[in-house]
Amino acid sequence: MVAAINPRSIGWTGSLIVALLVPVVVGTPYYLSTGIFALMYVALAVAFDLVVGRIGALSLAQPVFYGYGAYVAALLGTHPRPGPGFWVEALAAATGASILALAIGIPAFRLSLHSFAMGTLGFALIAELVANNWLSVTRGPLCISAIAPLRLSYPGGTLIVTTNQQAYYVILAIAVVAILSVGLVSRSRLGMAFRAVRDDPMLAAARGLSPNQLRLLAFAISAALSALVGVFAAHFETVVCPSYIDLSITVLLLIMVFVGGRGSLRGVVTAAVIFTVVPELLRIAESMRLVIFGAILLVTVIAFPDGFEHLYARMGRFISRSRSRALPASSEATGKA
Amino acid sequence: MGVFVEEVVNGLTVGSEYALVAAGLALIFGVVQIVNFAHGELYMVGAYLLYLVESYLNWPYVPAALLAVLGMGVFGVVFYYVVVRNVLGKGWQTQLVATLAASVLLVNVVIVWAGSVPKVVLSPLTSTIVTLFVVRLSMQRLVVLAFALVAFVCLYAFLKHTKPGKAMRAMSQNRDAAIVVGIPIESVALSAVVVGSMLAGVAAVSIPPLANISPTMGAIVTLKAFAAVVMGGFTNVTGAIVSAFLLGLAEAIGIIWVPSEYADAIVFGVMIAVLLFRPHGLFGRAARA
Amino acid sequence: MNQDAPGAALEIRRLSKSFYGTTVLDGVSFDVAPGELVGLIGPNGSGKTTLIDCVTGVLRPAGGQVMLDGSRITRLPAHRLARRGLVRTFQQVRVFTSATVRENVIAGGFATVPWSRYLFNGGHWSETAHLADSLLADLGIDSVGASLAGQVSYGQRKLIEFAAGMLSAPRLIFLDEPVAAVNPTLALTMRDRIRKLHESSVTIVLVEHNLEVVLDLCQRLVVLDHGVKIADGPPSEVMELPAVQEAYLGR
Repeated sequence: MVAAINPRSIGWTGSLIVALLVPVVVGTPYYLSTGIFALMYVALAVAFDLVVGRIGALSLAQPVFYGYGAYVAALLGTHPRPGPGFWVEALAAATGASILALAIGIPAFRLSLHSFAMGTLGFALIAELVANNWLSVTRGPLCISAIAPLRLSYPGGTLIVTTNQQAYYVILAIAVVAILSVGLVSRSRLGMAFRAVRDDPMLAAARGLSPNQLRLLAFAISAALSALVGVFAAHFETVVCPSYIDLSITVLLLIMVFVGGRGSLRGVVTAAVIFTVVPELLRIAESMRLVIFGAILLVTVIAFPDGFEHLYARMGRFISRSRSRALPASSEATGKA
Repeated sequence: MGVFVEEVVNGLTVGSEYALVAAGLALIFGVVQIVNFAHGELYMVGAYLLYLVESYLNWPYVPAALLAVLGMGVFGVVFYYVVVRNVLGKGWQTQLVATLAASVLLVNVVIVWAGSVPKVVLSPLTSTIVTLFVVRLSMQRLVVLAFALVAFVCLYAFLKHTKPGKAMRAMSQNRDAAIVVGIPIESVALSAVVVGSMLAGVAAVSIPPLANISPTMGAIVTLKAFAAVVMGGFTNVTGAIVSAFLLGLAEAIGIIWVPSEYADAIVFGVMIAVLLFRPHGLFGRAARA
Repeated sequence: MNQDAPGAALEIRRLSKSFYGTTVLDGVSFDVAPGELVGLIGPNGSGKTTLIDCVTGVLRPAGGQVMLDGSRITRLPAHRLARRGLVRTFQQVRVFTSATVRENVIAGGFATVPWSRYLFNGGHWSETAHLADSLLADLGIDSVGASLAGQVSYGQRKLIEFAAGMLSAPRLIFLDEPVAAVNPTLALTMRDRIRKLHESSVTIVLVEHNLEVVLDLCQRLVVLDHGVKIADGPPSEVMELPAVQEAYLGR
C-alpha cells in the first residue's frame, strides 16, 4: 500500500472532510436532505459502476435490488415495530439481494449483451409489477408507511436515528463503505480479473477466468450494496412504494456512470453529487429533469465517451507535469482509481 | 367458445401491433446492428401524430392515418441523423445507451408538451360492429389486421424486389461482404430506419382508436417487440413477425387464466422460456446479437 | 508453478463440427504424446483453428471425444481447461487492451492461482510478478511494460501473448500461427522460444502456414484438408504424399 501524499489522495481526503462538515455548515433541513439524497446516489452509482464499468455488463435492473432492500427493511421494521435493528436488516437485505442477483443473473448472463440489457429491463418491469400488485405484502400503490426510525446497535448502546444530521452520517458511512469496497476490489487481482472479462471474455477464459462466475460475483456485490442503501432509504423516507423500482432511477444511474466515466470511481462520485444536487437546487420539475437528463445522456454517450474521468486524467497529467517542472526528481504514477 | 374466439381475435390484433413494431426492430438490427430501445417510442410518436392531425387539423381518420404514417417516415429521417448515425460503429454500450436516452427524451418531451393524461383518438370504424362467427367485434379490429397485412405485403415486395430492399437483406446477412461489394451503408441504414419508423407508424394509426394513447404506451411494446425479435432469431424479419403473432395470441389466451395485471408478464415469461432452451431463438441460426 | 512437470498427453477421437450445415471437422482423430512437438498443417479453411477451438473449450464439438492425460475433457469450458494446463494462443493475436503489457503477462497467472487468492496481491502473486518481469526482460519487451497493450505493435503483442501463456504453467500448448505476419527477427526469436519450450517437456501442437518453420521444429506432422485428416507422420514422408501436395498446390 502506498500512502503517498499525491493529488489523488488529497482529493479523496479533502472530499471526505468536506462531506463530514456539511451538516455542520448547512443549516436548512431541505439542503441537508439534498445532501443525504446525494450520498445515497453516490453509493448506488458506485455499485452500479461495478457492473457497467468494471465488468462491462449493462444491467438495467439495479432498482430491483435497491427496492428489495427497502421492502425488506420496511417489512422487518413494521412487523412488529420497531424492528430488529439495522444490522439484522442489512444482513437480510444484502444476502437476499445477492441471491436475487444470482437468480436474475444466471439466466440473464447466458444471453448476449443486448439481450442481457433487455432481459434485466424486463426483470425490472416485472419487479415493479409485483410491487404494485402483491398487495398482501407490499400494499401496492398504497405503500408501506409508518416505518420506525433506524436503530443502530453498537457496543455500549443503540443509536436511534431521528434527526437529519444523524441520518446524514449513517448514509455517509454507507457511501464510504461502498467506495472502499469497490475501490479495493478494483485494485486487487479480482479487479484485474473483472477488467479482463470486460475487455475480452474469450481471452479471459483462455487465461483461466470464468466470465460467467465473475459477472455473477460483480452482480451480487453490486446488488448487496444497493440493497444496503435501500434499507437506509426505507427508514429515512419512512415510506416504501413501488416507485422505488422505477426506470427513472436507472436513467439517473446511467447518467452518473456514463457522464462520470465508466470504471472511474472519482468520475462517478462527482457525477452522482452533481446530478442530485444541481437539479434539486435549481428546483427543476420532474419531467423536465428527465428531458434534460435524456438529452445529456445522449450527448455524453455520443461526444464524451470517457466523461469526467477524461477531465480528471487531464488534470492529473497537468499536475504531474507542473510538479516535475518544480521538483527536478519526482516520480508520479498516474492511472485510474 | 365465444370467449375463445374473442381472445383469438384479440391475440391477432395485438399480435399485429407487436409484429409491425418487431419487424422494424429486426430490420434495423439486421442492417445497423443496433437494438433500438426507442422503437416503442416511434410507435408512440406515431400515435400522437395521428392525434395531432385529427384534433388540430381536423382531418378525418383515413387521411389523417396516411399523413401520420408519412410523418413517421420523416421522423425516421430525423431519428437517424440525430441518434443512429452518431453511434454507428461505436461500442455496443454506447449504442444501447444512446437509444435508451432517446427513448427517455421522447417520452418526457411528450409528457411535458402534451401531459401524461391519456388522450383519445377517434376512428369512425370503432363503433361499427361486425359479427364474426359467434362474436361481435368492432370493425376497427379488422382494420388493424388489414393495415398490418397491407404493410407486410408492401414490406416483402420492398425487400425482395427493390434495390434498397435487397441491399438491406444483403447487409443483414453479411455486413463485410456488403461493404466490399460497394453497398452504400449509410443510405441503406437511413432507409432501414425510415421503413422501421413507418411500420411502427402503421401500428400507431391502427391500434389507438381501440385504446387511449399515453406517453408511456411505447415502453412495454418495445419489450414485447424485442421478445418477438429474439424469438425470431434477431435479424430474421419473418421470424420476428411470426413470433410476434404467437406472443400476441399467447398473451390474449393466457389472460383467461392469469390475472390481468400480470398479463404483460406472459410475453416475458414465454421469451425467457424460449431463450433458456433455444438461446438463438426459434428461427435463428446461431445469429449474433 | 509446474514447469518441471512432464507435458500432457492428448487424445482426439473422431472430432466433428459443423456450421450452418457445412461440415468443418469430419471425424478427426490423432494422439499427441507427452512432450511431443507436433505440427498441425493444412490449407486455409481446413479446420485447424476450429479443431483448437473445439479442444480448448471455445466451441462445442458436434461429436467425438478429447482426452487429456487419459481424462475426458470434451465440452469442458475453456477456463477449466486453462487451469489444467491446456493453453492456447490465438490466430488473431488477443490482448487485454485496457491493461498494460506487464499486467497482460501477469494475467496469465490467473490459471495457476486458486479463486481464494484473487483479493490479495501478495503471496503467490509476487512470484507470478517476478516471473512475468523476467519473461518480459527475456523477450525484450520490458521497455514497454507500462504501455497499454492495445497500443504496442503487432509483433510485441504476439510476444505478450506467448509470455502470458508461459505464465499459465502450460502442460500442453496450442500455438496458432505464432510467426504469421511478424518480422524475420521476431520469427527467429519465436522459433527459439518454441524450441526451448519443447526442451522443457511441454507438449506442443504448432499450427503454422510457414512450412520452413514447421519442418525445422516438428518431428511429426498432422495434415488436415477440408476437415479431414489426410496424413500423419514424419515430415519427410508426409510432404511426399500426393494427397498432401495436391491439397497445398491444387489451391
